[in-house]
Amino acid sequence: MRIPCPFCGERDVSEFAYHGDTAKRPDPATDDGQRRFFEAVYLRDNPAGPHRELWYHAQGCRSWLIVTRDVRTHEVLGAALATRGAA
Amino acid sequence: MAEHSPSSSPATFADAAPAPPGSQVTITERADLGLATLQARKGQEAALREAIRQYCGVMLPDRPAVASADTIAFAGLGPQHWLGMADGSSHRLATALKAAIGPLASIVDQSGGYVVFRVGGPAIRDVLAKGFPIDLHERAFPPGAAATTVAAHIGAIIWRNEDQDGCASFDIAVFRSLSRSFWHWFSEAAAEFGCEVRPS
Ligand SMILES: [Zn+2]
Repeated sequence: MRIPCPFCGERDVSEFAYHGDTAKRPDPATDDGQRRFFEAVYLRDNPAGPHRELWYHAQGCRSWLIVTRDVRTHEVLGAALATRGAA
Repeated sequence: MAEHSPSSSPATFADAAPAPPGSQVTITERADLGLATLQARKGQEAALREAIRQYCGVMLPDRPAVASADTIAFAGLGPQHWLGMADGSSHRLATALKAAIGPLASIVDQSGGYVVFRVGGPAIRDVLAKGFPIDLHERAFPPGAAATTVAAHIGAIIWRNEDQDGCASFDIAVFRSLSRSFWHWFSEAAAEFGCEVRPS
């Protein structure tokens, strides 16, 4: 699997660290924080298809990326710097 | 002021064998090189570029590339992140940059942090291909191109110089504490071609 880093170009997946999907972590301090956390951990969507996820280019430019990957085929559909918004 | 470890140079390594006749690979350490990393402060990228241009005439590259003027050069390591290099300046580079650009960037002296090796010779691409997982072919990696990647599991920054003696020439920066590991890999990879260790 190769990831097209917007800064470095296409690189082997071994240069990157995976950090999970891009869904925002709920704030546990809110009134219904416990319920939101339960839903985020146990009831989250698990789509068969394109998935937006965070990857860190640890052995390259050290940027956080938002990568859109088809979880059925590992086809990478796009990658963008996380600081610049959506993939 | 911290002194560099003398053991960073292959020329001082006990296992550096004498160059066989017809060596097709060369390596030397770029000694007394001033190194500093620059990271633009939030929203200051344009101002930093202008300040560096006024300071030394270099336009900071916004991609993995090296830009230089006279004895100073900057390699793009990542978005808004550069490695500055100055021949013969050692630790004075970071001090000079701080004075020149003030609060526009975070500047850290790396003169003792990295070792920079200059490698070349007719077989150099065959050696590097054994460890670097990126394409260093003439068309994919022309003079001035740079990349941050790994070589034999060692984090490395590589950039291509103008050709020397008709052969491709690369500079490779690795963390100083890993320079011996890098030399171990490089000397083994280059052995079949013959490797000439040139004094700094
Ligand atoms: Zn990258």
